[in-house]
Amino acid sequence: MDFQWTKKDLLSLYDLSRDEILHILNTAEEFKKVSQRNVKKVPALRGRTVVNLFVEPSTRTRVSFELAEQRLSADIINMNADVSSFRKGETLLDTLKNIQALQADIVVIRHQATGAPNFLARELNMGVVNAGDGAHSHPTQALLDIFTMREKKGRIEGLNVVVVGDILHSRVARSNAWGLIKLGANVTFAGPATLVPREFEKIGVRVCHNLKDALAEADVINLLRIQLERQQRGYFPSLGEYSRFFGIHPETLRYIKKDALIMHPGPINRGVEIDSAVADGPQSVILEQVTNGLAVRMAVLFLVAGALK
Amino acid sequence: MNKKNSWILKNGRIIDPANHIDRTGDLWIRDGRIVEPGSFDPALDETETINLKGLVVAPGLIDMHVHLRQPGNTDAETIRTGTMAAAAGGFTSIVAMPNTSPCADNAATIQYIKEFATREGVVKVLPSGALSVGRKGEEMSPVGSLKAAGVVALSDDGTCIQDNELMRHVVEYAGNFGLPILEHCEDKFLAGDGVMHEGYWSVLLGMKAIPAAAEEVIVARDIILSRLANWKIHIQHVSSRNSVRMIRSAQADGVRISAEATPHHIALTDVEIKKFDTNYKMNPPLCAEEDRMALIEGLQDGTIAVIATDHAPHTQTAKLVEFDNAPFGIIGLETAVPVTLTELYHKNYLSLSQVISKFTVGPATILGINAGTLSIGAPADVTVIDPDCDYLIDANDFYSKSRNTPFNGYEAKGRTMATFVDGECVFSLLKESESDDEDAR
Amino acid sequence: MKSQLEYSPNRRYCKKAGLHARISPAHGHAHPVRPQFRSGVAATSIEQETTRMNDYESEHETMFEGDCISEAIETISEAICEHIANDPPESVALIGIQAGGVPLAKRIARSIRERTGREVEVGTLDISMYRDDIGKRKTLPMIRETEIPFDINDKIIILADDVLQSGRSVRAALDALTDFGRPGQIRLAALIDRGGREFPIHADYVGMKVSVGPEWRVCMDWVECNGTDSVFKVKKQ
Repeated sequence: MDFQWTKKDLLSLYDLSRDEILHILNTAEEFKKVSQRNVKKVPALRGRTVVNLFVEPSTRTRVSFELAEQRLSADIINMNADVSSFRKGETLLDTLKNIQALQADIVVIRHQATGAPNFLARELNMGVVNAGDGAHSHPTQALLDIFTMREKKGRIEGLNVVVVGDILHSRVARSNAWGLIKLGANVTFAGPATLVPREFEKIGVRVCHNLKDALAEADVINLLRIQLERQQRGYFPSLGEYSRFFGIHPETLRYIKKDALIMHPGPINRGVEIDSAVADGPQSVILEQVTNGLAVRMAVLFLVAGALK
Repeated sequence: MNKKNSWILKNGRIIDPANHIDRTGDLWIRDGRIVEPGSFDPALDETETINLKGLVVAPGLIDMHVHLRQPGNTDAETIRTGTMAAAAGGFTSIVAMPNTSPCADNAATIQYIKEFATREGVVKVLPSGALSVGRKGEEMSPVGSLKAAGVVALSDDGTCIQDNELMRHVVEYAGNFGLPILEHCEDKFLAGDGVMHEGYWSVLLGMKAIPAAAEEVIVARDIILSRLANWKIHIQHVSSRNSVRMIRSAQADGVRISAEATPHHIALTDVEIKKFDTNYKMNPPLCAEEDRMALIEGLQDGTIAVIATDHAPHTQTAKLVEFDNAPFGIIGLETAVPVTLTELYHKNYLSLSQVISKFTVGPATILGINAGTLSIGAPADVTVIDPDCDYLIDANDFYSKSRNTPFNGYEAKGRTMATFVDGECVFSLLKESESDDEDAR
Repeated sequence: MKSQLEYSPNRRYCKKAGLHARISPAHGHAHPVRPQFRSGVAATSIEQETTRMNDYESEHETMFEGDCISEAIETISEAICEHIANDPPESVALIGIQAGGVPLAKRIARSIRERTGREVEVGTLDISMYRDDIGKRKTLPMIRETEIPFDINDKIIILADDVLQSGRSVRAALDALTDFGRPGQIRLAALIDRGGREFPIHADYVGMKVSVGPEWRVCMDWVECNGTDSVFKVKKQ
């Protein structure tokens, strides 16, 4: 029987079933081919209007979504962090209601307040796609990470995936965990004790505060960006110390599996969580993640559009 | 119902925990006071008689923790609408918190509140004064002047004095004037800009969190200062199991520390936050199940002697924003009785008399006021409750101006049926046909 | 005629030169593990539009089975063979429209091989991204595989679809195909033509014509996926 996608929103992988996640990945496979043709556009979202509302600024994710929307032939409205209506005191809800009144169909939102996309999805008839909210959820990133893993390794079930870094403040880590656990992977979170709470063990993730132990059997290593602000709030003594104990260096490559994948959502802090040699080396699939991100986002927008009434 | 203040409430189940009474009988009220049954002739004095057919008759309920918002934020609530909500909830006396605008840290604002309450209030409003000027935690407020103006207690509710030396002086000075201190316990630095309880759910949802330690650290501080100054400190809205434990052992030691819990902390936990509904956002935040059970145990063994609502109205505009940006607080006057009866009485944690004591003798003792009893000669503040009726809570029926409650749609068992203040009926759901004049003769 | 398309040096190609619709993965041509991810649906599954699932609850009447269908396919392949007799080998290819056109295309190719020994290449084309009714239906059909392992430029492409009615699917297929390149000619082979055109689309090769009332939908089962060859009609809801 054909699988039926019924959700007008993509808010978090927490809300999706295993089948729904697989459906997105399978759909993305076909959209990846579109980008490899000469004519990279399909008319699937022609006549639909998509609003990119990036209240929390971003370049790579926004560009990726914008390109996905263009390739689906959608009309695009870009609203960024310095949107003047917010400065004049208009609430988020009012801004979006105005846009809905202009018959926009889908909003892609990135916001620093956790739950902002959920709030909008509840109040609006538009489709809502979460491009990252606070430290909570970044479903398209996790989907493209999983897509990359599946493409390279041929499976997710039983795969040993290790996410390294500031897990506490990371929406990428949380979304990765939800998606991977539902598809049967073995997930490990690794990093300093101040940034990797044991609470995650209750959802079935292994928590490890020693990098070597964490990476011993890893098939996939997903590195998170360390933000300088974390260090200033006293979570760890210095970037140098972080890099020494939790960064990936050429030496690390000696004790991990030869075919382990090195991934990173970007942008990379060269020399902090990852050395240049590793980032540019043969085990790194960082650039392919970007390509796959486009396909995944096209698939997500296509499915969400199809579920709108 | 008319504006009479003489009544005969027949066939009620009279529960008066202060006097250890729980029996069926009649309650006689004359000229706004409770009198001996049979002490006057109902026919001569134009008395209204009501046959309660077994409904509970309790002393008028007291809520020690209410935000009336007036002066300053009358969009969310006024003294009039707040007291109407109180009456509908069964409360005959409420203690108004001083975080108004201007702050109730001076005699003039207290005068204003008292005048408004007399003119427009429907139930008794007992004002509280701020502990520190502007609630800024820097300078002691004019305690003596506030006492003269008529406050019943002092509080900086909404915020907390962080300077321990200042707090010590305030406690000692307030003791001099016999004003109990109602304390919102929160260490600002530990709490940071958290929006929910630090625990499993905050980690999973990636929200900034407030550790229980933020409350516990100040509870410990207050126990120490209460012992030092030998004066009453009342811990508002206790939420953490460790706070309960510390308070229990301090009480055993003879320290004059008391505590209150809110109906929402008794009924709900932090799992609700995953809906990102701002009607579940308050300070202190909803905690884990173990904390909720510890509160219930504290109510059972008397460590927590009071249930108070922390009724905090906010306009819909204010609350209809992203979770991180929404203000803390929910209303509670009209949901307190149904929720506590459902969660405590009907789940067999507390007896009916125990529940009622948390709203009557409990707060009255701490505040040192003449209320919360049905003793002969006491003012006729009476609440009639039906503890068994089914009540589907609908926020649209509320008398409060605000609607920020998590209990809309909650299936409760039990609610307030009538409220009398000084013998005047200020709220009633009793049908007229309940009155039975023939029986009275 | 030279192709007017640009070649990008960074694109990865299959062994055959030219622009291909399918990209080989880093490990080689075949993608042996792929089928297991499609939630139980194999690449050659031919279940019809999703609305058909609802239709099973309503009236269902078999019209043709087994041999009738094989004969109809032979009718088509005979016509094609005659038509392409003088065209050079490798200048003709079949492309089946997902989902019902795919087994049809494969069987036509097999029949052509048996009759003339000629190998006609077969591709598959999914038209979900080109539909004109996305968001207007109750559900979104699943995107199936598009695999065209040959260069379509200047070729004679014979599109194959199982049931031809309004012509909208073919219209979408034409749009999709022309995004892949510039065929020399496009022709249409339909196993069943049941009439009811909404677009000026015409089938060059028809297996059989049927006439049913507008309240019926004509559908097909194929041995390859449903275990049996049958043409049947279901009442629309």
